[in-house]
Amino acid sequence: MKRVVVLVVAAALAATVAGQVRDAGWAAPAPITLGVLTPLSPPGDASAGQLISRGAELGAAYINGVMGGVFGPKTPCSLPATPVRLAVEDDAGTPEKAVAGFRRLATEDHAVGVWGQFHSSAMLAAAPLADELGVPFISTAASTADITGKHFAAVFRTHPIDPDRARAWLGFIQAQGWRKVAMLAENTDYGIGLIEATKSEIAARKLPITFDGVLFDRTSADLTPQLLKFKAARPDILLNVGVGTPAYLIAKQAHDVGLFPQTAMLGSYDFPVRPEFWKNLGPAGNYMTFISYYHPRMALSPLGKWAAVEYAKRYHDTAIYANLNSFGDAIILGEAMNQACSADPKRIIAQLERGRFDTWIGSGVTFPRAAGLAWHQWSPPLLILQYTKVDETYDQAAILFPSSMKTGPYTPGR
Amino acid sequence: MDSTLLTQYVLAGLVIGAIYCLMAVGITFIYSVVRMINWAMGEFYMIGGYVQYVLLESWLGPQRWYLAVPLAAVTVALLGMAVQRVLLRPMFTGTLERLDEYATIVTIALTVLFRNLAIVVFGPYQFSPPDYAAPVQLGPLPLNGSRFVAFLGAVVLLGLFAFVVRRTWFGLALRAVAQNRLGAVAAGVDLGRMDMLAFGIGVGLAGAAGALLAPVFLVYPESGALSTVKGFEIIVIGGLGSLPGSVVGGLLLGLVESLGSVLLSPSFRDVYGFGALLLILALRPTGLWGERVREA
Amino acid sequence: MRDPTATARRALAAAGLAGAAVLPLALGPYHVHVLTVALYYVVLASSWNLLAGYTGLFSLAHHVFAGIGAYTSALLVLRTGLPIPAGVAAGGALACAVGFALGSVTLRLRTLYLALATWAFAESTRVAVSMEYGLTRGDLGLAVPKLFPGAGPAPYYELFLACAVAAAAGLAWLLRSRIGYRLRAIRDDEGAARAAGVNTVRWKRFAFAAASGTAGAAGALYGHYIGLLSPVAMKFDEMALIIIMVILGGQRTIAGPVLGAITVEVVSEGLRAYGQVRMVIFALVVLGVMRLYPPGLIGLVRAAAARLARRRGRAANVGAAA
Repeated sequence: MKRVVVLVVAAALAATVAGQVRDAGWAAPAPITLGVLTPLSPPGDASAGQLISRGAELGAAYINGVMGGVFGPKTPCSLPATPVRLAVEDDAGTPEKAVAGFRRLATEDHAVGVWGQFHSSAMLAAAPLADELGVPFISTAASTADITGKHFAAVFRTHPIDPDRARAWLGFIQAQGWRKVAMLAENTDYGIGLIEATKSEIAARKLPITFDGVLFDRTSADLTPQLLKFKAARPDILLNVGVGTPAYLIAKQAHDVGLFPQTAMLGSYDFPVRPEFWKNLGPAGNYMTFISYYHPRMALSPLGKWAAVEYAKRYHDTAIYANLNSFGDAIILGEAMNQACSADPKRIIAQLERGRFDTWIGSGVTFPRAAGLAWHQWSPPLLILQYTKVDETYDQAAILFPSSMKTGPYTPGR
Repeated sequence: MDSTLLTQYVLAGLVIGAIYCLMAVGITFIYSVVRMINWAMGEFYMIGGYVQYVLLESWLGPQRWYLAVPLAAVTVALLGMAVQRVLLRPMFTGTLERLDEYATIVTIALTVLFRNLAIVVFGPYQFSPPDYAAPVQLGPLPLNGSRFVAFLGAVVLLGLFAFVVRRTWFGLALRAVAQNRLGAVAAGVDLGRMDMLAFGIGVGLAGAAGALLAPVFLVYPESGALSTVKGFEIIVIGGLGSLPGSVVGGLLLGLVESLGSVLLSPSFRDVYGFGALLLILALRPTGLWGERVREA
Repeated sequence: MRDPTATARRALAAAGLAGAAVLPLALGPYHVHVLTVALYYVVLASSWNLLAGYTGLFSLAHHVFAGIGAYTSALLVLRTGLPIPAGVAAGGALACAVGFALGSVTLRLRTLYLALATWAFAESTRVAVSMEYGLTRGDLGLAVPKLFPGAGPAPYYELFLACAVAAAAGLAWLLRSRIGYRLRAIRDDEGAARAAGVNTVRWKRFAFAAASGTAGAAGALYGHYIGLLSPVAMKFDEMALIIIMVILGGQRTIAGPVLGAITVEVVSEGLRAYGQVRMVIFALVVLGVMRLYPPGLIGLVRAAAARLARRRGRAANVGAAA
């Protein structure tokens, strides 16, 4: 008897819930799903994944809050304003999990676009699937050449490719008249890609530069022997190609053995922008030069400003490139839907190739079907900045490169 | 090759070797008493680093690192004793078979647990307290102040370890347990307490190492991996449970890595240690100073 | 006379197998993919169970043998144009040979030293693969030709189902043979086994070579399924995962690792969005199993089945009495 009562109550409850769900469905259009595929657990770089997924949340908040969803009266589309929702998947930095995650996003969550990739091998494993399923897939921070070089129909990138970075620092090195370049690179897709790109750029342009690139295992924490060897060879500049902990360890230990700041050091990405830079390095970080993708003196787009302010509010932290670029990718997908007046992934792909988009760093983002690595590729600008005082903030840092934006000369360290 | 550089390499190798000894001393201690290998040693090292950082940032101020180091060690030791009480005690109550396997699996699971908990709790960032001391010059080698402090710390801790084990009543009891558990019980030693204390002290040593090395290698969720890797290489080279063995093993490993990087290739630096380990195991299955075991 | 329960069991197994084989018809490609990966781990977990569970050789390099097989096959196929099945066979053969060599080097080592030595071998292989990127492409990823070009996961699912069944059945056969007794004798007491005339050297090497070769062939096939290799699968995390699967499922049983691998893979896919919290949960579960219920999932299933049987038996008795 009791069992029957329970069954009846359960059935009634289920019916009510189902009815409510259907009612809600009548009132507002079902949200459109945007997919984020990023490393959130080891062996992937979970720190990068966390930054990227925060940026993605910000992007969804912007689309739903400021833009009032996609479509709607503000757009030429005759469709009702529709909110977006995020589906976040962990790729654990492994090819297998990336394939599984992409399949799940595309076939189970019905995501209309996916971004957030960090590890190149994971992205390359899932890229053929993006083509097969016809779902746009944007590389937020995976840099290996093949991602765009293989001309996948559905794969795009808003991240500098390795040759961009190599060209930036080689341009700076040339402008300084330096000839002897050393590089300490971690044994990841990022480090290997940059050693290769720098080598081939030097060879292709026949630059009068001698280059010594050394790989190290990301888990090894003592780099003293490598640095001592460099010190004895007296290079003009040491390129610091570590991500996260290794970037700090290279700077600190180079300082300890007396290599830096006597010899210039260039950080390969914008980690010195983060608040923990001075905390972790103290005076040892002074005179560091580094690649940055923006500078407060550059016009950050209204989008970028909103994101920076909102990020500080939400996470009590300074927004950096990984956050902002992930935010930007969300917005680009939103804009593409608005321009195409469609949430059909295939039409979004077509619109991404055709349209012009705003992102956090400016406007005029395009993904042309261009030759070589430029296929579906948009690179943010690369600047080289330098700190010359301990505890300097990056908005005071001098811009050394490109020459068109230069605000000061390179200051040699003492 | 020029001789200054070679001297620098030898010195750098010896310093890092002593630091490796510091990482290995806890493993040696636990093995010599409890006869188990703690695969989560690196994670206790990592926790020591976090505790040190939090103490310096929020309470003691960056200058008083010498107070924070023992506090961090004690905190980690207490955690270790709790872990031992809850998870490892049944090893010794006679209900389990294959103790080595049980300990290996449990401590590997602990590794996964602590590492991922650190990411959940502290976020995936890296932290570093300021350097403990001003840089010093060691012959031709400029040396970071914290590294020098860690070097001295290694010497002090190893000395203390040797003193406690050889000269005190507590050390006598520990050695008694290590040699003959039944005999120790007959002599009035409380085995359960002894095991718990030994485990606590061992991971406490790892915690102290983590605290001392916090400004040298930074504090982050995976910072313990290095300590585990080097610690294991050393104890295998030196022989499980042998103190002089682990000292020699540590210094040897530091030298092999340092000289290997310059004479061969720096990229394979971490492989040299493994190579040395495999070679020694193939030639002398119980390490350079290892105990002789009777086969049952 | 034939044991009727054995016949029933066999029929049940055949039905289960047939059900598993037609499963892709009922599921979406994502779920089929997850199950395919789970079946791959069934092979790894079962072969590690032979080595560590039954023979007592607690190797921590099993994941690396899968990697050796995968890279060997991929490089042979890419560089020499070998057909994929031949590449897979070569990958398995090389892993088998390396396993034999590692088994020979570590013959005299006791459990702890063996664990440490295999772990050191695994780590140095990983570093070497990631550093020699000229050959292996390192972390950039080595693109591998697929076994069934352009197809969804369904054919791979059937392939790995066959592999998993073969691995489990092979293990069951092996353990029932004289070899199985020898291996277990070595695990229980090596000295006594030797005294009883077991050639411990030969059979320890055999266990190493067989388990490593199985892992190598499975890894090679898996590489031709995923289509991209990277040294990330040679990290220790992967080994920890295999251990978790075997322990959770139940060590030293045929069905335990099968159940463990499928459970861990499916549950971990379910918890995927939770990132590192998922690993925290798994670690806690493994600690709980080790501490409180060493027989694992399979023990749980067996206990439940036994209770059911007892209840049914009682009911039958009551019926007979009436």
